[in-house]
Amino acid sequence: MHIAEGFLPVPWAAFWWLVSLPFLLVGLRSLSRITKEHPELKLLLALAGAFTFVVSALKIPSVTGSSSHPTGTGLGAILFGPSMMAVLGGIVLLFQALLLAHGGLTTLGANIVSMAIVGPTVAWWTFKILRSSGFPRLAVFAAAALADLATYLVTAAQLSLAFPAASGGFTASFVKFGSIYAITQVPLAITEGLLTMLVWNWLQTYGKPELAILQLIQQDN
Amino acid sequence: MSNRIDTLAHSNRLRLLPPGQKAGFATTLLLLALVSPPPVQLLISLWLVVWIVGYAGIPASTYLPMLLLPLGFAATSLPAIVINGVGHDAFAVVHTDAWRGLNQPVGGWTLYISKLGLGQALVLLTRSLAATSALLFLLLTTPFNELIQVFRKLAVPPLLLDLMVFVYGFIFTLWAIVDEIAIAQHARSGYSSWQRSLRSLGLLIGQLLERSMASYRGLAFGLAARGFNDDLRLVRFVKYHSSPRLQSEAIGGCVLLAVLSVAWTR
Repeated sequence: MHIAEGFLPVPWAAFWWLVSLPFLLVGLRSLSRITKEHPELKLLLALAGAFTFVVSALKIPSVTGSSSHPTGTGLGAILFGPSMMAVLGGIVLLFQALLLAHGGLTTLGANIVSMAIVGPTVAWWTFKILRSSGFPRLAVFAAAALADLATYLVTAAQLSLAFPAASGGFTASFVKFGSIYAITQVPLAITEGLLTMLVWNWLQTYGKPELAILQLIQQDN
Repeated sequence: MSNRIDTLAHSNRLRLLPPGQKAGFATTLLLLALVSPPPVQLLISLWLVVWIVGYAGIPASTYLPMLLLPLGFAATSLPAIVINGVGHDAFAVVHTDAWRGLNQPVGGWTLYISKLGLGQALVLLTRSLAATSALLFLLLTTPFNELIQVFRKLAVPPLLLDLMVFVYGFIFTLWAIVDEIAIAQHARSGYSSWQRSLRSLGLLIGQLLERSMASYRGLAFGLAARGFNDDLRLVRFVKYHSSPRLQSEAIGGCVLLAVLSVAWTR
């Protein structure tokens, strides 16, 4: 979930930008290596970014009856690999700020850390570990759901660091933010997990050639 | 799914002002909004209503909901900041911070409204309002491909810029695909119940990936046939006109707001 423009005090906004910067630079370096070798992959990467953006702008039906947006980070990480997702996710978040007014420019750093770095990393490792231990379907569900949960916990932590409670400080604040967001985020995580599983099953059955092309990006990670 | 913000950015009355000037103005106000005291932040928000609704000609009925939407996020977070809980015996310690407290403890906890929290919430609301207004000014008056030119001057890595240009183009292609698939699904009883919605959406996303790859292959072949080697340049034909009156109002207003914030903090 996005932290809105102007929500973080200047020092914290700057801090999260600094945290995200090394990841972006490393991601950018591996991107430029890949695109030097295969120029046409630049298009494929852009397409991956646009795909993630459009998926994140879809409305998914939530269990509670209201509708919400999927983050797409889980699917993105599984399809494109986590180090690509740092840069692609950053671009997607920039577009969400500039075309949909979700999130903002000063809070982009904080949002990149939660949604383009932590979420995809959690998704990737969950997917890898569970798949190699012989649970391919559960792996996809858990990757997407845990990515969402990790993202929302990081956001709650970012807000509690910026706004510690008068009594109890960070911990009290974290519990408060965490429980308020849990109402919307836990059902969303489960729904997105199910949705990602459906997408993955479909792609396994009908999309083998597409998945093979995407391997091009991943193997160079 | 046509994009409201993008459409307005291409058709508003400030479209032909040089993008660098608009970006500079918005950035100055954004930074000012982050550091200035609440009254100045409110002034910034009001002044930007004049710019966005008055000068750029964005209908107020479009702009205000757009401004309030991100503030909804702020509003859902406010209870967490304002309401505090302490163990009943520790209430005396935080007594100075409590503005209103519940007399009855809930499960061994006393809930109260924190003065520190109220202060934080007020600052947060005015700051988000002003910062969001500044961001929206930029979004509603400057199309994305013109922002790219500004980024280019700011020495953003060219690879990143290329990716952004491509992503921007692809987004609209993919949106059109989503629209077509969704119409077809609705016509065949898709999305009629919660379970079916999830199935329809899963199908849509899978097929979207397949269709996107097909359009990628088409484009890659097309570009390869034209000798594409890692560099795609776009030609611009737009002529910008700067307006001395608006320019002086922007600079004068920013200076005045900066002076006001310094005076207020003293």
